Parts: sequence; structure tokens; C-alpha cells
Amino acid sequence: MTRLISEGLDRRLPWTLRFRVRLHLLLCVSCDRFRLQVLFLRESVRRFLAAERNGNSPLPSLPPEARERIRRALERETS
Amino acid sequence: MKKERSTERVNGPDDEGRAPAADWVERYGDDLYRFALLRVRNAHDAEDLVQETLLAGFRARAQFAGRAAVRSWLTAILKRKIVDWLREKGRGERAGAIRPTEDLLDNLFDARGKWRVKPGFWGAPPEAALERKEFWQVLRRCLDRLPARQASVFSLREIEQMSNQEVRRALRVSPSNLWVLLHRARLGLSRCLDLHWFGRTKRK
Repeated sequence: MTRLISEGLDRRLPWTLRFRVRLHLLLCVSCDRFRLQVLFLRESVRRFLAAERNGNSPLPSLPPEARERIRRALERETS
Repeated sequence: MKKERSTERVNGPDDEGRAPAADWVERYGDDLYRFALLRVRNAHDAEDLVQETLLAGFRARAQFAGRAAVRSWLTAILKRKIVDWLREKGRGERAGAIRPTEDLLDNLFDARGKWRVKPGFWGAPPEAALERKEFWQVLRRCLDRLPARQASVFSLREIEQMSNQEVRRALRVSPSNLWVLLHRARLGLSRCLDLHWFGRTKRK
């Protein structure tokens, strides 16, 4: 059933399956939680991408050692 | 962020090419690294991709000649490299291969398919939690714990926002396989975040 729930978030299921999923969600709290978790993930990623486009990515910056290594590689290129 | 914003554009034939190599790392390194980090999920590969991107960009800088923002041009190069990376990782592993990382799903259901470990209630994504660096670090680590194929499918679909068909073409999987992989990736990620993010915050 969780597979159908997941699949339903990527494509429109035939109505018979949609009906089955709906019915099942009424009875299975955990399944509905799983559905909400997947939607949470999707929404979080969307917001992350929006923040990133605005230059507000919450991720850490390039570590100093890597920065140094890349700088050297680039300088080798120019010499 | 800071002052680099004002130097985003290459001002013309004078500027491009003459900017020293070190400048490129300072100007674009952080943004490119942040862009790669969640997408390829491990820091080391993210660093390598940033280096390749800057090298490729630096070599081609003469042809580029300031037609647009250098930053978005470099990001486009990086994006292509990331999709290649995800494709390669996602294909490298057999569909049925089970790695120790599958443990996330191991005891999730009993023999009759009933939930043994019930998913937690997360609520709606709170504005504040998303800005916390730690959340993304945990998500990144969770992605890294998934089998590579599942993680690649998830990244292409949810982060690169590819269509189902594009994902299938990129990783050469059948439709039914795509649903299985996405399903397993989501179950694994949900479980992992339940354990390592929500479990921890709930206790206080």
C-alpha cells in the first residue's frame, strides 16, 4: 500500500486504485503519516531550492583545505 | 552573499581572462560547493565536482566573454556534471543488490505487511527548521545511507525535479522499477529522518 501511496505522488493512478488508496488511508494512520512525511520532504526540498536561487542556501561553505587545493589546480592551469 | 554580488558580472573582454585563478575560487567556490553538496550527498565528491567545474570554466573563459552572469554559467556546467555523477552512481549498482544500508527498511513491516515501526507525525515543514543547517546535513547523510540507485532516483526526481520519464531515461529503469526505487527511497528517508532528526527534536 505504501508503494501505491508513493506512486500516487508521481502520477495519476487509475480511479479504482485511487479509491482503494483513499479508503485505506481512512483506516491506516501510519500509512497516512507516511504520505504526509513524503509530502513534507517534497515541500522542504522545494523551499530549499527557492532559498538556493535567492543565494540563501543553508549549506556550509567550501572547506579551507579544498579551497586551497582547487586554487592550486587552477593556478597550474594558468602557468 | 557579502560583497561578491556586485562582481557577479564579467564586465567585458577586459575582465575575463585577466582575473587571477585564485579569484575564481573566492568568487564562485562557495556557491558551487553548496549547490553540489546536497545533490551528490558526499562532501568529497562535491569538492571534486567544484574543482572540475572551475577548471572547465576557466579553460573556456575566452569563449564565454561576459555574455551573461559567470555564476549561472558555471552553475549550468556544474549541474551537467552532477546529473552525470548521479547517473553513473545510479547505474553502477544492480537493481536487486542489497547493501547494509537496506537496514533502514529491515524491520519496518512484519511478515503480514503491517507496520512494526510506526512513522512519526512531522507536521508541516516549519519555516525555521528548514533554515537550520543541521536539517540538511541530516538529510544529506540519510540520502547517503540509501543504496546508490535509490538515492540517485530520489535526487533526480525531487531535487533536480526531472519528470518520471527523464529519470527513467537517465538511469535506464523500467516504469515499474522506477516506482519501486522511489518508494524504497522514500521509506528509507522517512525512517532515517524519523530516527535522526525528529526523534532527537521530539525529546526536548
